[in-house]
Amino acid sequence: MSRPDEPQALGARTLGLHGCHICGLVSELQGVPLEKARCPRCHAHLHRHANLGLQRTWAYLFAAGVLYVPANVLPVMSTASVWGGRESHTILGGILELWHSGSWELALIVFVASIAVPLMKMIALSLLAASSQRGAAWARPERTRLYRMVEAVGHWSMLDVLVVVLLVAMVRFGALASVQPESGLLAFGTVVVLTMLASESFDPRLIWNRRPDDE
Amino acid sequence: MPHASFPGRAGPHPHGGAGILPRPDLVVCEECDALYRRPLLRSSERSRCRRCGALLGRGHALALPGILALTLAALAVFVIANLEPVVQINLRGVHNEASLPGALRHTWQSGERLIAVMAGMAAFVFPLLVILLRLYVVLPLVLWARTPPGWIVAMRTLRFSSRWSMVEVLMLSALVSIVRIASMAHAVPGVGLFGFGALALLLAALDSAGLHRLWDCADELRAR
Repeated sequence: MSRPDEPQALGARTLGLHGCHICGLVSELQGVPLEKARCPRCHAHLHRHANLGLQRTWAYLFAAGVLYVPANVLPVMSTASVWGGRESHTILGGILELWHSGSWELALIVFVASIAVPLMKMIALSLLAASSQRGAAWARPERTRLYRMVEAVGHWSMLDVLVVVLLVAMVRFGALASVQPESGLLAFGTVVVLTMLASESFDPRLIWNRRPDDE
Repeated sequence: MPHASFPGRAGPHPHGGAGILPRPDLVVCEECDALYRRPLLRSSERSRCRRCGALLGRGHALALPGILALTLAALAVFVIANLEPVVQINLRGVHNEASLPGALRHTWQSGERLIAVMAGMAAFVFPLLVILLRLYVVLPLVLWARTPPGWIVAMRTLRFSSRWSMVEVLMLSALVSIVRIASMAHAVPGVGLFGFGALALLLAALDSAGLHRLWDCADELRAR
């Protein structure tokens, strides 16, 4: 059932019309099976709705969830200096350092980008994938908006990877002081890439799929 | 907002039999599959999907020569931003500076090579690909009103690269690294940081001009 206040629109696919997700061209299939149809303009497959799509999203999400633990537990960089000795820093540790140095605004930004966004992305995409799989009809416009937000903020989590890369180059004072990247950073960067792949592999049109008993 | 209306089916295929008929008179919402007639958009007008609010298209705010000019500007800024240091640092009289290529090289040498590759892709390779591919597809359109060889591959790679290019993230991370290091040494932003700031703005402007418009331009040229 769709809500009474939900704006009505014609689903393109029910009319045999298919919008290409790469170049945007609409094609009308005339007797060509969808599985074989390719966009006449950019040659992309028009069929993006195979179940494989959701399986891929789940696989990326699962891998990201597993790596999320080492990404946050293992150190992402270590510093060595003659006055401070050798220290390891985790993602959360870096945020606390920013906080104690008085830059609470930056600490907040890094917290959102590095901890909150990857976690919220994994939760949001799991919700979207699970609800689409069951053909849920609730809050379709809102769920589409949620997907749009996930897509928009996704790449900002790469922030911490680039911070460490810059610090490695900045702090090169031989025996006096140096910064080394650590393996936690690789896990962290991989989580970011995997969540981006997960959201790319999810087709938001699945949110609007109707079951036969709908309407 | 221009009014979108529901279209009907077209007649049978002009040549009869099975086939795939392009329907440039229609738009389909990429996010919820709602179908509309393509509205005529004036400059700075945009149309949104009635059902889910996604952006369906924008008016021609930027003409093709404008896109070409912005792309050339982006290329120049990219070169400058990479030659100049992003941050400069002073530790008890010892001076040091980090440019993006330098930072990638030092990370590579530190042994965490995959991190260097990951950062290099996001901050260097994909932004460069975005600029070069855009130049490759727009230049022939503007100068000779035709598409270059390998148009489809170039356009699809361009779409992919835009997604993974993270210049604006690099800019913010330079600011964070300056604050992170402040307790140990004095650091100041370099010319490169401002370069990447300008590059982020240029790329955002190009991004908003959209790739669908380039596809449509090429179609119009072929139809002539």
